[in-house]
Amino acid sequence: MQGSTRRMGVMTDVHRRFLQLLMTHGVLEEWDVKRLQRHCYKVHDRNATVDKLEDFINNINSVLESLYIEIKRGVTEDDGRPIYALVNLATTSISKMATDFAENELDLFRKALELIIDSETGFASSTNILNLVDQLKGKKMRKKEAEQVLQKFVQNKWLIEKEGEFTLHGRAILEMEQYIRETYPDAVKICNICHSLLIQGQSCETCGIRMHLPCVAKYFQSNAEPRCPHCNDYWPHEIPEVFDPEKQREAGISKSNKKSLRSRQH
Amino acid sequence: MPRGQKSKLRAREKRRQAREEPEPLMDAQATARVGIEFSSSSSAHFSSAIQSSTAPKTTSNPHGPQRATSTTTTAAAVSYLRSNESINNQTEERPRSSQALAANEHMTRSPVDEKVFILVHYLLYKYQMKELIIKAAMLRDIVQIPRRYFSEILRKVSDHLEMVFGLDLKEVDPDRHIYFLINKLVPTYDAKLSDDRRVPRTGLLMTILGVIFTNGNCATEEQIWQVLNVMGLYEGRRHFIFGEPKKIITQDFVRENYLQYQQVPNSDPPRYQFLWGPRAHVETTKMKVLEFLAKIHDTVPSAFPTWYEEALKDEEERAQARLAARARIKAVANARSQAILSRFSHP
Repeated sequence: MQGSTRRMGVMTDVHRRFLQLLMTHGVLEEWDVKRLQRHCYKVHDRNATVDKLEDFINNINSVLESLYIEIKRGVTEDDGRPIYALVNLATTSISKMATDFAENELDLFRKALELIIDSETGFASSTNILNLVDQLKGKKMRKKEAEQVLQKFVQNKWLIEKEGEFTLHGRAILEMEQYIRETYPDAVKICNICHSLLIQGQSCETCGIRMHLPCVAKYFQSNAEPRCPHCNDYWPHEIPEVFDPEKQREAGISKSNKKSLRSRQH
Repeated sequence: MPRGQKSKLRAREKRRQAREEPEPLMDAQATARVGIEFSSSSSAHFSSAIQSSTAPKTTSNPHGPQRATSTTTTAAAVSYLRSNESINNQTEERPRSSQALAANEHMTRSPVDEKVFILVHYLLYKYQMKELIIKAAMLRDIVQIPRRYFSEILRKVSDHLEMVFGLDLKEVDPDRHIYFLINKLVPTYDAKLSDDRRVPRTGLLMTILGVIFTNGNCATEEQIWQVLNVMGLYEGRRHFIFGEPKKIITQDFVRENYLQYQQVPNSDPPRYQFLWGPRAHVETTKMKVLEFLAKIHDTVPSAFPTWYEEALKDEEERAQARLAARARIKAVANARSQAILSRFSHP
């Protein structure tokens, strides 16, 4: 394969096992990824020093490049936790294969996705999604069934549910950002700071620009008088804290127990 | 999966009007991404299915016009990505630049390379689904190539899977050309018991070890039977594979040191409980048992956070123990060699 002579990285069993496990998990938080990395070293190369995670992943990605796959890093939109997922970069005819989701289930996701993208807050209410079941392609789906399908999406980390409303999981954003930007170019919102897709965030009440919560946190860090980067008007929202991995681990906060940080501040 | 033509056309129209680019370019949509599916089977190629319904599908034929248009589209994508790069955000930069690099490679990708990586993705999908891989299905649905090139391409695919993912492509049926992917890096559970007669019992033993582990490392006999009953194993009823289960779990496995069977302290009338036997601790680990459990439930070990934590701690403790043991052995060896040396230098 043309890429093989240019391949920079070296794959050992440590890297392979890491890749296998990451593939199985789908998406992992950074501290889990670090644990996974240490586990793979322990099992397959006990004597080696553990590479810095960034180098480790870059090494693997340089090998994956020729296969149009990548380990992608992103941050969760609500509290800036770094996450990793194995993402496919190219089109293939795999889409021709049957998937385990029925046509009407996929259409339900698409409807939810559109509602989420069109919404001001990045959340679509369960009610609004369920009201669209009559419009779904494929076999007729009852609302009760649709509720279960939505839960399936949550379990598989495509959607997040908070108080009866749904938004995109960080994994879905990592996987589908490009697709979303191309398919809904008018409706998508973009963060003024990092310029990537924005589903949840804060917006300036004067000029309307939007920023991710973690981007707000970083941009306004230790700034007593936060002002909009675009129109310089006073930034009216609460500035969240920058994500600190050490602090979070000590506090042992679990995702489900955390108070909803969703910002309804648009 | 057939997609409504109307919705495809509508989507295409919408995009064309928005972008004001000629139709053929949008047809290629080489930048529409297909997601590789993960963990539980119900997420199989989920995002790919989502994306394929509104974007026109690419065929696996890379020749001629498609390649030309994909070049142009990806060039557009590259410039789009570059223009959006921000200095502030470092986390997104790396993935974007590698995506741009991948897009560039689109232009120089050979037809053979394309078949190879399509098949790699397909086989990874089959591996996740734990499904057999059938040559006829590959040739019919995934890549259309002349049969005489198939083995060469499959060999390259197999090399990639082995080199990058540590997966071995095994031919299970040479006549019908049916294959299966196995994990080279994790020995099968059956490797523990080489005796053919006892191979089915590994599954039973792992299940019981799992029940014990997930019940705080000690399970009552009632708890064990609850699980075995679901599997169709009942006390006193002879099973056509396993035989009489009570005998196996309370006598055979105990005698072989895989399980400990003891009376629950102060129980009257006497009740019994199971713990891992010393041989179980040696031949397997909590993590392996959790992985086994996860597989049965079609999920992953980290889906059970408490047990996963415990299993990880167990791994670390074992690693520490191994290091300590090795250090001890080294120390003893050093001491011995010192002793020998001193004896020689002081005749």
